[in-house]
Amino acid sequence: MEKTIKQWLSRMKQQLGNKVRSMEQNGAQETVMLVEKTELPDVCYFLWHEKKGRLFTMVGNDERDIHGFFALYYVFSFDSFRHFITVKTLIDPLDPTFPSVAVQLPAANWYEREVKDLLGLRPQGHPDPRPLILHGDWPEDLHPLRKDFPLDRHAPRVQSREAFMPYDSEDVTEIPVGPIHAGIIEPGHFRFGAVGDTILHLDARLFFTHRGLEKASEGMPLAKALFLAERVCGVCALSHSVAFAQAVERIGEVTIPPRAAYLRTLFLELERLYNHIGDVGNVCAGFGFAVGISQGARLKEIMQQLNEHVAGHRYLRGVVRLGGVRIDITEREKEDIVRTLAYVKKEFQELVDLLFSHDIAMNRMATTGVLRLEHANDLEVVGVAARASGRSVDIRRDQPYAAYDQVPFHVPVYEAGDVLARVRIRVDEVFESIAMIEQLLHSLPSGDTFTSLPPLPPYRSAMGWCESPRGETVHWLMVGPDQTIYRYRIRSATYSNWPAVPLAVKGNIVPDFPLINKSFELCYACCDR
Amino acid sequence: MFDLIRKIWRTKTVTKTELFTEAPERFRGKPIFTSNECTGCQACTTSCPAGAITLQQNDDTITVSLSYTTCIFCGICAEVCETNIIEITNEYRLATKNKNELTVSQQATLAKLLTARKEV
Repeated sequence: MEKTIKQWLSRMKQQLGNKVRSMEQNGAQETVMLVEKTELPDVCYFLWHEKKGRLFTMVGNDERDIHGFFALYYVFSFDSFRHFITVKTLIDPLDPTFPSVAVQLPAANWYEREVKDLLGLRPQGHPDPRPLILHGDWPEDLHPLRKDFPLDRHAPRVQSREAFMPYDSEDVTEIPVGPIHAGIIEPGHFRFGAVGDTILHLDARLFFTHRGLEKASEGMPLAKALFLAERVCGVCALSHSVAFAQAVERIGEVTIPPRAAYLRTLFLELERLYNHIGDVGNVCAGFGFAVGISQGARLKEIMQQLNEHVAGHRYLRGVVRLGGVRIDITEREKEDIVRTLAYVKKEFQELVDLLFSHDIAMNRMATTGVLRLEHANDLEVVGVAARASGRSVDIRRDQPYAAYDQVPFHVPVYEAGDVLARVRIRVDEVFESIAMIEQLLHSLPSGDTFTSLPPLPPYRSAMGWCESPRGETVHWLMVGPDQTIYRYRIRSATYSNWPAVPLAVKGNIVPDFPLINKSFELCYACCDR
Repeated sequence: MFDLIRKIWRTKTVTKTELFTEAPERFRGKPIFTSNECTGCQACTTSCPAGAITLQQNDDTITVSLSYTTCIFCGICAEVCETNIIEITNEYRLATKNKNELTVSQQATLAKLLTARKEV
């Protein structure tokens, strides 16, 4: 394998010729290609289209303190080689522009708009010039992620530049919904263009909960930043903390003890379980199936009480430490987990039988909110939504971390791409997770639960990734001097999946939107950060 | 239809009057002071992510103050403390009518640092 990766990389270098200025290894799994910014779209398109790499994440970084330039990193994942290729380009602060990659590679759309908002690097030729992260009333020339922007600076509000799809015809009704919703959900503004009952177009305006976490983390000691990572999102708290810890461990070139890896995997699956069970129940709220809602909520509560009992926290915070885990489990807790899971498995099976034998429920879910495979591929959709559309990506299998290479598991994939397929994926994964937990408990190795970290060299970067219940979450981290954070980029699963929602709702009726939205179950907090 | 009714009948009401029972043993609740020895090593104040702990040193006594209003109940302080002056309990009932009661402090005598500082 080692040899084939080398051959593959050198062949790639030949094919790209003098477009690549230099190529170097960054850790065992990542190769960094330095290119001129004019070659950026060609190289990225080559890696994506010819070599079938997935756009994993994209990071803009203000590195003027280090070498006087801004830097852009486009990271592509090559799952068959278990390798990453990062295309890096340097941008002169005197000419803060770069040719847009999003023209050919639609998944880069949001990333480039984000870089424009937060760092003031303008993607030239980008198809959508509207602001993304910072809303229209933020001054256009203030870029909070630049290092010279002080953390406590208060930005004045200006005349809003927000723009939505204009409709010429009088037959199109515009329906604005949110950002404040009827219910305890997060803020997002949805503007439907509807003809009668049918949705013609949807503008989703997000980033109302942008808290500037990435800015706040800069200069923070790594041990404290773990708490920040844990609080990016409420329901994927553990996935985020594991991803962050992995990034730190990868920079320090530390391997965590086997017991810690198994425990991380165990808790990650517990997180997936309570999320998926709750989500299957919540989908029922999309068509008013009260029995399903209550049963889902009841089972989720049982799972959360199990979490509290085993880990001390209902949302599994405080499980991870840098270099391992903080919580160990005893024989008694093993038995408690097995007993609870046996009960939940039986009850969940009954809930699923009720749901899938209910004609009205099936009628509402089937063929609703279809996300086509081409769209999913173009937008690099991840997680449940991807697997329901026939796109087989699961970072647990493709780039294993923790102890996922030790336990066999099956990744369910459905072709239909509708609400029903997404529910079926969750149902299958619940049973898969329960089976995995049983295996993990059975083969849990003994030993230490953590290892200490060496001092990390400054200005090294690495990634940590994790398959959260919503899909793969990537944390890109560069450490600064004195074990602090220099740049921290969180790309959550929802960030990749939100652009797909407006495509899935097109052609459906307005009352089906809540159902489609629930079937994606995207959270706003970790998208907005 | 009958399946649904049978399921509802068998599950019964799960949200019956909730008794205020103890939280699970591992639940990280209210941190309390359990000893009156402090080495003044600052391990708790530097590792506290919320900055809820303050140390004030006079000659041979140290006053350790802890604010429940800023505490996030992570339990790191109890892990790093050598003299176990702070311990995490599973007490979750923190409500009070007087805000001042949410800051507690402990007078401690200065103890010698036994080992090198623990890993955080």
